[in-house]
Amino acid sequence: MLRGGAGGIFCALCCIGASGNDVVAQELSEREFLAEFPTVLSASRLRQDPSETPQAVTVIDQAMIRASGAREFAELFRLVPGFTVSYVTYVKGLQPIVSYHGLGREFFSRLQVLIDGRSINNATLGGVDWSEVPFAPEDIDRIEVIRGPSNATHGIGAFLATINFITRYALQQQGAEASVSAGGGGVRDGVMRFGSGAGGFDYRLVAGHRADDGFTGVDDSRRRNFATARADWQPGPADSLLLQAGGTDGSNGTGSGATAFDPRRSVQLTTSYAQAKWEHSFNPANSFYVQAYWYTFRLADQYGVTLPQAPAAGQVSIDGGSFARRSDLEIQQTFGMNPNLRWVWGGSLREDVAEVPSLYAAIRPLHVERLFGHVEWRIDERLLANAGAMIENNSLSGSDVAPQLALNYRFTPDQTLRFNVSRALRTPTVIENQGQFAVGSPGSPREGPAGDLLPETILSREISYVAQWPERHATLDVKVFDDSVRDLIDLIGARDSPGATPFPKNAVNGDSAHERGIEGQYVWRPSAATLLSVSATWLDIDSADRLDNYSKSAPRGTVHLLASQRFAEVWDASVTFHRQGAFRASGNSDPQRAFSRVDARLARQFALWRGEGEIAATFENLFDSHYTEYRLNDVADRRAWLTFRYRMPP
Amino acid sequence: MSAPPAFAAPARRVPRRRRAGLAFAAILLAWLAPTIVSAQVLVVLSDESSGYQAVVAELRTGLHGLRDGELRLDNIIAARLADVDAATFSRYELVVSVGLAAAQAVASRGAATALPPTLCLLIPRQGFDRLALPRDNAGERRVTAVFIDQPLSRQLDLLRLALPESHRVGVILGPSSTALGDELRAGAKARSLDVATATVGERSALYPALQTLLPRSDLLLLLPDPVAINADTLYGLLLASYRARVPVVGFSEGLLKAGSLVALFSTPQQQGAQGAEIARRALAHDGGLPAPQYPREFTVRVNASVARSLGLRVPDEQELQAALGARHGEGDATREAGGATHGGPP
Repeated sequence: MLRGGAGGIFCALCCIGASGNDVVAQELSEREFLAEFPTVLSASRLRQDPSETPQAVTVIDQAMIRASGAREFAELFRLVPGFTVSYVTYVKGLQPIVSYHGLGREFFSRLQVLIDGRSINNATLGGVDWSEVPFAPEDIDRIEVIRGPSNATHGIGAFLATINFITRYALQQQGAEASVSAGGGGVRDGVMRFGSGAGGFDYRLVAGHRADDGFTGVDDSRRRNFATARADWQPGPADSLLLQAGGTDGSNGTGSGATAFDPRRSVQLTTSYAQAKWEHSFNPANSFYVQAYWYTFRLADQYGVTLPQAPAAGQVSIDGGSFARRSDLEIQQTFGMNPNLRWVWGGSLREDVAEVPSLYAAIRPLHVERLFGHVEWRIDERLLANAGAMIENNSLSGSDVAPQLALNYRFTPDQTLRFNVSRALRTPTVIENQGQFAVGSPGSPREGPAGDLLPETILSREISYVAQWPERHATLDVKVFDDSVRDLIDLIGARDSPGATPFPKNAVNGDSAHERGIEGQYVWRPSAATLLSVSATWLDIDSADRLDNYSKSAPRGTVHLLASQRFAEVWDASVTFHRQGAFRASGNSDPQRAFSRVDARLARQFALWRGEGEIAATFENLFDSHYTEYRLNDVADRRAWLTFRYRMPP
Repeated sequence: MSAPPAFAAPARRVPRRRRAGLAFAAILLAWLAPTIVSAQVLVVLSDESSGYQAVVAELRTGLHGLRDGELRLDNIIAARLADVDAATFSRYELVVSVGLAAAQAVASRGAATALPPTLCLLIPRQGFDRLALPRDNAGERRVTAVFIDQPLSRQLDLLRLALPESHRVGVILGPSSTALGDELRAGAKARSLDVATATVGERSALYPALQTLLPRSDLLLLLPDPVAINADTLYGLLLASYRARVPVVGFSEGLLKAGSLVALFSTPQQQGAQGAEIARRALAHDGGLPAPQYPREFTVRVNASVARSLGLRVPDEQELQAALGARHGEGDATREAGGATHGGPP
């Protein structure tokens, strides 16, 4: 009776509420079972099984990020086979340098680094502004590292490797959160985060501050404020819109004080970005996205120098600053012809604008147009072919093609061999192409005409073995490689080269390098509470080293280990071990000797006033191994800090 | 007493031309009905959408040839049922309702007139249990159903078969599905599964609930609930689960296509065929109806691209279906519905 009554009232409500879908939808009916939904996990949103990717891929997920204790984004890449992480302290202050298979320089990069598909390589020299990431490590969902060239799939600049940060959806972090860290080495960090949303519109706001004193005895402190706003909006059932904007602002200490031209001083760094990405899915196999973003970088570094000697005695004002802006528009479509054949194609337009007053030259913008496509063909249950190419045309060095062919052969259900041959390009940056790199007297000529550089090319050959043990939750990936890198762009007159002259310096296609080696990674997650990751690399670089010491630009051997365990549902303990061989980075580096380093983290969670709290102690270089980074006076010390975090659910 | 009035059934918008046609059909039916002595089966549809039509097609096929081909199936949509007069209505040998709204419309007729033997198809068990049905005559069942839902035991067995490594089952319970909580926990315990539930009272509470549930779950089992699982919440639910590497097990083909790893459901055809068999027996045995039951035939589907992406090795569909079928045969399907005997003998 009562039920009938309730039903009557309910039905009466239905009648009244003609537009009241919410009321109608309260009662479970067959509609829930028969409803069609738009495809949420479309092909473009799904990450590929590591045994099916055309290149070797390492994924660093949030669990690994937390376990590593890293507060410096660049430090995370120590865990990835083939990567080295180093730090320079001059010109812009403390800057991490991340490289894959060596060949890394201070302010250049042969890696493509993306945040949610948006490049953060600096448009002037192509380097990565690692200190300018406008959020905290907790905002990352995972980092996909493509270990090898991948122009056809990851675009312009995907030369030696590609790093793609994928940040969390707004709806993954709802509620309010705050954390503060303080410790030795001047570590003073704070982050506030708030996320909310309803009705298909979710947003997250993150603001924070990062500071540390850098290396002991070196004037390389960093102070940075950052903020990011992200919104995920679903205007319709098959559409989603990502809107992001943010920036960083702060100062770096720099200058050795050793010469009048390099006084101790503070430089200002400011970045900003905005990004919009619209995704539409027609059906599970067919979707596209359109993305636009811009990124600006400004370095302000003005100081006066008193010249003691004639003819230019007196006060000279030096502007060591720079400005760069990158604008990029990209479209990509993924469609499956049938379950065994999938196409991805797209194109992009990019403009890089740079101003560098110290180069005394007006720099023309660089325009790059790119078309790319690849096809994934599941020939049978065992064989997967992936073929693709990128055609790039740019306003300075013309057109070129980067093709790629990969074959994945799954010879048992859990073991795969991958054969991959690919060619990739690195377009010279605006400054490489047009600038001259030394502070000379105004009007010093460039050696060679501007715009005469060829893109760097790599021909990469890879054979990989990927094994998965689903029942043990373990994966092993081993890659053997043989890469030829040609037309490496470097500076005439760089240190150690026979024809070294102080002025002028400009970039030329000078060297080649032949890289061979083997690298691998084993990741084991026996339970949700335990994680073990081991990676190791052996690498040999052969080069004539005409302009730089490429042949020693990466350690011969590295081993990294990360182990993490959760106890009693509230304790997290993790330890990281790094062993890196001796090497000497390209550029103005000193030799770095081999070192071992141990990091550790211990955290405890507890319930706290309507939410949860966590206290963590992080130790970097626990045993105080005094190894050096880029320069001999950049000596690593033990550093420890405490982090307190509080999260209140919505 | 206060049974839901038939006119209140939420009908979908019908194009004007079709509406005119339906009205004409209804008038024609009302006019013809009293003159036809052998009015036999009345099929009441919630509306004209294709899912319902598929059931009718199966019924037609299943009843074909009965009574020397003289058996007639009359079709009507729920919103027009009130136009059928009481005498005509009570002369039907069997009424088959397709959809919840149709069942509610038929039940409301039952308050005033004697209800012919009634078979409800495409109806959730909960909706059937809540129907205001007249009491049965002693020893004779007047109303039965083939539920659209799958028995929980079958869903839990599927989890063990498809993802044997996953023991921690996360379940979001909404206002409708919360009633299943105890049965779920008992069934899980019997299969050595640990169930973690989060109860949400409104849509906006889903994501916060997921944030606490996903870290404690190896997989997420979806139970039908219009508040917790709907077109608005599904997008975030699937994305958040995927990002947490927690596979989702769904209860419909729509959920599978959207991004669930596995789905267990019965198609309208499968339910129509089972309905036709019940109707056949009922017509042959002069109104004897079996107990309300879960669908006997079911479909297991696996989303291969999601499985690959999550790095999961899931047995193929046929294998899962065969293994699950071996445990959940015809007898089981009826027995499992033992708890749902609304309108049955005490």
